[in-house]
Amino acid sequence: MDIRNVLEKLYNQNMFICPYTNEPIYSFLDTPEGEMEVNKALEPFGRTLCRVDGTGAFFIDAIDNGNNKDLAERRKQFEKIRDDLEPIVEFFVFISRVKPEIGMMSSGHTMRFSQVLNVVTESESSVRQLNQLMTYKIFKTSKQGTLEKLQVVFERMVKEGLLISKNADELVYQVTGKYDYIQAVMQFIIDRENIVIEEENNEEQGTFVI
Amino acid sequence: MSNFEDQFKKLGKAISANAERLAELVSYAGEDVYFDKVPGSFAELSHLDIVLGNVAEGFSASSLLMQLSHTIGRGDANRRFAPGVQEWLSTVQLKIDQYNNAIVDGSEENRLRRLHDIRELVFQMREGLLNEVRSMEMALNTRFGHVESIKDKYIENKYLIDYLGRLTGKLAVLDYQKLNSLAGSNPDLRRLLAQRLYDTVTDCRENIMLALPRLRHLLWEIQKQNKQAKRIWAMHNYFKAGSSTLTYEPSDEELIELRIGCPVTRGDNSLSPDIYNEQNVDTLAEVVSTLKPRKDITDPVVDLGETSSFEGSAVSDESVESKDEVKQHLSNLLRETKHGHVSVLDYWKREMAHQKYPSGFMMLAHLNYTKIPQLKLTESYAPATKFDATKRLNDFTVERY
Repeated sequence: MDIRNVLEKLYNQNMFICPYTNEPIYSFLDTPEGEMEVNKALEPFGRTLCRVDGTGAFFIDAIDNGNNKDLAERRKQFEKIRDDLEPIVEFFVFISRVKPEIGMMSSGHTMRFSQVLNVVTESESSVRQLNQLMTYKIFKTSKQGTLEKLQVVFERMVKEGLLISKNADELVYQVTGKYDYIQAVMQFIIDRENIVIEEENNEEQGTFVI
Repeated sequence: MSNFEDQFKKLGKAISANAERLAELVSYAGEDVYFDKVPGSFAELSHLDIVLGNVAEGFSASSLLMQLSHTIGRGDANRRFAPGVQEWLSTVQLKIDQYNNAIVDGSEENRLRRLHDIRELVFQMREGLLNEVRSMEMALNTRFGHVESIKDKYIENKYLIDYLGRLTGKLAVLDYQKLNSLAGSNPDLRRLLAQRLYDTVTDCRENIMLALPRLRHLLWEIQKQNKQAKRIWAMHNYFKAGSSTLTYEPSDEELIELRIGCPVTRGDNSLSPDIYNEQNVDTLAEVVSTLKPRKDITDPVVDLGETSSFEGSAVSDESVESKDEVKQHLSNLLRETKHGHVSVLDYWKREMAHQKYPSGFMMLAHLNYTKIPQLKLTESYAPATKFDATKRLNDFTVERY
C-alpha cells in the first residue's frame, strides 16, 4: 500500500476511510501492520489513527491532549458538526419521507438519485420539503430548477463526506461510515442538551424492534 | 421388475401425459378447476392424492402437488421441514411398541415392517432438520443481501430469528438421553435413534453455533439502525420545536473523551519545494510550463459612460461570509485566552494569514474586546519616526483578569 496515498486522504483531505469510501485503504488500515505503519508516519505530525466506535471508519486524532492548538482544532471540529447538524438531520428525514420504503438510511445503504428525483418531481409536498432544505446554509444555491436543487443537495452531502457517489452514470449514492461518527456526536449532544429520544415505536419513524 | 419400480413408471407416464393440466391446477393453488375431458392416466394421479376431486365437482391440486411444484420452481426453497417433535416422538413411541410386540409375537415380517416404519420416521426427522439448517444458512448468506428495502430486511431478520428459535426448540427436545431411552437396549433401534438421528442433531447444533456470530451481527445491526433512526427523529423534533440553536460548549476533556478527531489546520500541511535541489528542476520546469499566463495587474480603463444610480441596498454573500468568519475568529481567540494571554497578531498569523493585512482584524478585535471588562488588553506600539509622527499599534495581547 502506498503510504503517501493513505496520508493524503487521512491527513491532507481529512477523509474518513470506510469500506464504502475506499475499500483497499480500509482493509489495509484494518490490519495491525497497516495501522502500525500509518501511525508511524503520522507520529511526526502529532496525529494518530482513530476509529468510529472502535470498529468503524478510520480518521485522525491528535496524540498530545495537552497541545492548545490541537485542542482548539478539536473544538472547531465539534462546532462545525454541531452547526451543520440540523441540515444533515433534515436531509435524512427528507429522504425517509420521499422514499418511505427505504426508511431511515444508515451507513452502507444506497439510493438512486433518479428514484428520489422522480418522487420529488411528482409530489408538491416533496418539492416544498426540498425548498425547505434549500434554506439551510450548506445547501444554499442560486439554482432554481428542482433537478439542479436536488443535485446541489446531494453534491453538498458528498462534500461533507456523508455520501459517496458509487456510480457516476446511474447516480447511485451510498451513505459512508462518517454517518456513524455524526451519530456519535449527535448522541453526545442529545445527552448534554437533554433532548428526548422517543422510546415508543412511531409509524412515521419506520423503526422496527425485535 | 419390483412393485415400486412398476408404480414409479406408471406415475411418470401419468405425470408426463397430464403435465399441462397439472400446471393449470398448480396455477389455481388449490382452487377447483373443471376439465371437460381427462385421460385415463389422470385417475393414477388422483389415486396417489397428487390431484383431488373428480370431473363433476372439479379438480384441485393437493398439498403434495403444491410442494412438488415449489421444489421444482424454487430449488432449495420449500424443502420439507422437520415435523413437530412432540407428535413425532409419540408416533415413534407407538411404532416402537408395535415393533416390540412383533418381536414378542415372533412375527419376523411384522417386525421388519415396523422397523421400516421407524426407519422412515427417523429419515423424515433427519432430512427435515438438515433441510431447516440448510435453509437458514441459505437465508443468512444470500437472501439478506438482496432485499428490496430496509424494512424488508428487518422483516426477513425477524423471520430468521423466529425460525432459529423454532429449530433450536426442536433440537433441544431431541437430546441423547431421550433418544437413548426410546431405543432401549435394542441394537437396531439404538443404531437408528441414538446414533444416526443423534449424529444429525449434533451436526445441526454445530452448524447453528457457527451461524450464531452472523445472526448476532444482524441483530446488532438492526438495533444500531433503530437507535440511529431514533436519534435522527429526536433531533428533528427538537429543531422542529423551534430549538434551532445548539449551544453546548464541551470542555476539552469531554472533547478528548468523545474522540471528535483533530483535523489539520489548512495551511499547516503546505510544503515549499526545494528549488535548489537539482532533482526537482525537471518537475518545476514542467509545472512552470503548464501555468496559465499571468493576468495583467492593471485592468484597462473602460469608459462606462453615464450610469444610472443604484437606489436599493444589497449585501453580497461574500461580505456576509467574511463577517461571519471574523466573528467566529473573535470568539475563538477569546476561547484561547482561557489558557493564558494571546497575542492578536500571532493569532492572525496562525489562523487568518489568508487575509492580506492584519489591521482590519486587529481593529475589530480591539473595538470588541475593550468593551469586555473582564479582559485586559496590553498594546505594543512601534515608535514614531520622522515619516510618521504618531505611534503605530504593532500588536496587543488579550488576557483574562
